[in-house]
Amino acid sequence: MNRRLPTRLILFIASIFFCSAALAADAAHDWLMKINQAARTLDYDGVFVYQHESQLEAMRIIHKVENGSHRERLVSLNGAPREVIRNQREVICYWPDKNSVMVELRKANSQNFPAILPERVQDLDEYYSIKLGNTERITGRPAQLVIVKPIDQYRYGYHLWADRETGLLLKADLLDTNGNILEQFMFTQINIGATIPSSALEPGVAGKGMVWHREDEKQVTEAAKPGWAAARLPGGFRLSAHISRQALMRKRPVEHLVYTDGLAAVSVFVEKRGKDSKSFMVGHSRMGAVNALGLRVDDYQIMTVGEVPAETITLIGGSVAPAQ
Amino acid sequence: MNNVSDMKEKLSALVDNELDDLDERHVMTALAENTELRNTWERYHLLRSALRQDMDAVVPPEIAERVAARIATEPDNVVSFRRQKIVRLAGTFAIAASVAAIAIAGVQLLNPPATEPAAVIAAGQPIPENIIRAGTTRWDMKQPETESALNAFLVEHNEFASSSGIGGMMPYVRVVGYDNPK
Repeated sequence: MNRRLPTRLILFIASIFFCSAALAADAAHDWLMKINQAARTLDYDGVFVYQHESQLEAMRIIHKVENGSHRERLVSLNGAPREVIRNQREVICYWPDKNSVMVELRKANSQNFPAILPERVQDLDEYYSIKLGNTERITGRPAQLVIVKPIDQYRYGYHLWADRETGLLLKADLLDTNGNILEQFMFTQINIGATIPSSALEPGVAGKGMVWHREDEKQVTEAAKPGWAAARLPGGFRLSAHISRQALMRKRPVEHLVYTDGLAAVSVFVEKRGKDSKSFMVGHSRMGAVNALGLRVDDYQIMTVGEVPAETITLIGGSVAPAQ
Repeated sequence: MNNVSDMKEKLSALVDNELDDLDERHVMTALAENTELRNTWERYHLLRSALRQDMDAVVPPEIAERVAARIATEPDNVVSFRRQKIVRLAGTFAIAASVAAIAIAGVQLLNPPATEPAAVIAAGQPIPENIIRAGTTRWDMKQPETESALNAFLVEHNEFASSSGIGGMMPYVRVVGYDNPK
């Protein structure tokens, strides 16, 4: 009996060691969920800067939760006062410089795609290493750094600084596969938990006289079976949503497939164009960290868009074909 | 000049999408080199659209005429015309409005980016396709209708990008914040 005791002791010590390692990883996961939750459940009004490549932009974001439903307003403070107003039901984009307003019906919630779920957070471990960093001071507040590092070249990494008190994301770096910063976002001033008047959530630009592109509710259906599919996906990516709808600006039926690994999402749009259509978009394009690839397959326009490296877009987009 | 009438016949076939690949490429090359032919091609397209009555209600009726008139009277100035006018057109009217789309696609086809045409033709790719090229900081500004289309895709994508990952409005930052073209 005596001889077995040390073994037990070793096992006990070992289990404490592993548990604490697991707890540390869990703490990082908890912070990730806290960030995700905070952005949706808190009332806040702040100004932040957004930097991509050599450009720097300033924007204001206002978020208010009322009777369980929430409303957000994002306004550009530089150049044309573009705005996005989002509520439970729709997303309205005001583009005064283009004299147009675009109204999108929200579909994500009805698609069982709510947020980061605990079980999904654990899945992330297969393709990302998620760790806690130091506590730093951001926007005058103590912030917890969460480091999300991809294990392969198919996704970006993130450095996230969350407000220690509320979990609200105060600063974020988006990193490419070599660890170089692609985009940065940081609040310069933030008011969390303040009373927000409803008027602050009204659009600052008059939509009158602008051309409105409104999505028709009847046109949105969850297609029973995808007509198209990506044959190749990087590890961890899977189909999370599939919608058939009438494309807003383009007024054509479009099939929309969403693939995600839990953090990064890639959309594939498939649109039938007439034989005489000469407006196919073919080739790569990029905006900040977002990559896009246009391809033509017979009479179909395949457009793949996502906040992932170009390689991922090429892999997924290049493999889109009619589903078997 | 027998060649010209022959070419016009082919143009007509092109508009009706009745040419085979080889002929189509042949006509495209000719179009790229010949202003008069381009004008004819434009008119054929407008005529065909009018006949088929597939003009969209969003587009004021005089748009087609205005576009046609401008192109007809300013054959040497099509590029600057495109830059000045289409920017506004593309944003104002639905991209898919057929006349505008044909006009835009047509003008673009006739004026591929200055650095590209030789390469495009040499590579044997279908010329009429709208080529999006890697922009430095944003969608290619030279093709506003491409930019608008890509933005529409991006907004539709954001709906899902924002509910996964970090969440919130962050994905929309790109839609709002890419102002100030260089």
